[in-house]
Amino acid sequence: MSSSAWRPLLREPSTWVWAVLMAATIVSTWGFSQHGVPARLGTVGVFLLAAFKVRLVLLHFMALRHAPLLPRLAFEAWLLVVTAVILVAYLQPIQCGAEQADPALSVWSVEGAAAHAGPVQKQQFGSAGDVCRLIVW
Amino acid sequence: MGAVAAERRLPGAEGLWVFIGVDMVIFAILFFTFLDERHDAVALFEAGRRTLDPNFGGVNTLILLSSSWCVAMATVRAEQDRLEAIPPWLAGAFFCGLAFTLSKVLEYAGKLDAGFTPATNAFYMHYFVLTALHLLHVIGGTVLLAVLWKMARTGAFHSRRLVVLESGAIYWHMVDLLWILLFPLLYLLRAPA
Repeated sequence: MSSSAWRPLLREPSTWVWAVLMAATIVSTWGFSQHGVPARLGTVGVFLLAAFKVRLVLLHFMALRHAPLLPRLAFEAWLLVVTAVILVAYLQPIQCGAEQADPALSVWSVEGAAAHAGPVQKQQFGSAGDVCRLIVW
Repeated sequence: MGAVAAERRLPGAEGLWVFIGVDMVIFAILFFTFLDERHDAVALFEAGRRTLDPNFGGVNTLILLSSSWCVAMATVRAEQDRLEAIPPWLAGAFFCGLAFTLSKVLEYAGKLDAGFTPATNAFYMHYFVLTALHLLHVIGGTVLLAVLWKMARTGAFHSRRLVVLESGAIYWHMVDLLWILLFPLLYLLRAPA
């Protein structure tokens, strides 16, 4: 498509919303989640960006910004609750040893998963307890 | 202010919003179940997460966002009575839906080849259940987009006849919205190292 064909599209709000959504996705997938960014900071950033993206979809693409107040608040409340629960659950302290107490979460499962993740991960995940201690540390 | 209040309306069929609300609550419960189980086995879930390729999830997000944009553009064109401009946008959205489905099938094939199944562990059970449930929504939505595309080619949508197109659009945006949260939940929820 030539640049002149794109020009009318740039005047439409939906195009700008789409561009912001695409940029936010690139930042969170190939920026915040990279190893150079601390895990907690990066992950919280990823979910705050995700919440921002969902709100853009709700208000602009689903046109809730023009909707009566009650349905708009209901969907915005859904987003607030989901985001808050994800962040609180993620930031909760971890209890070491929990996985050993549950037979469904056996050590071989962790090692099996790590084996498929390549030699670096396999070395890191000697046992479930090791990983848990590593994570808490 | 009064005029603005009078103009406020929900696009599409009202009953559809109830269905969408219920669907979103069900997904929220599934998200919370995932988080609850992850809290009891962070190491297992982290090891499982590291076996996923975030490039698949990221590209799939870009595909779904682009399809949502196409649907939004089609709706605007119907509102403006630019009937001939509607079908190409719906076609774009439809092919994005196909691309997402194809990408997901390739991802599943890779996982099954590597020996990962829903029975592998709790992480993989959640991974397959959540993504397959979402994929069913994508497949249903892609079929719906094909129908809307066909209808648009016969001039079925215009400014006084928007409900069907708007309802399909709202459903498709919800499918997009759920993936925006599901993707980081499964692929990007990094345990601190």
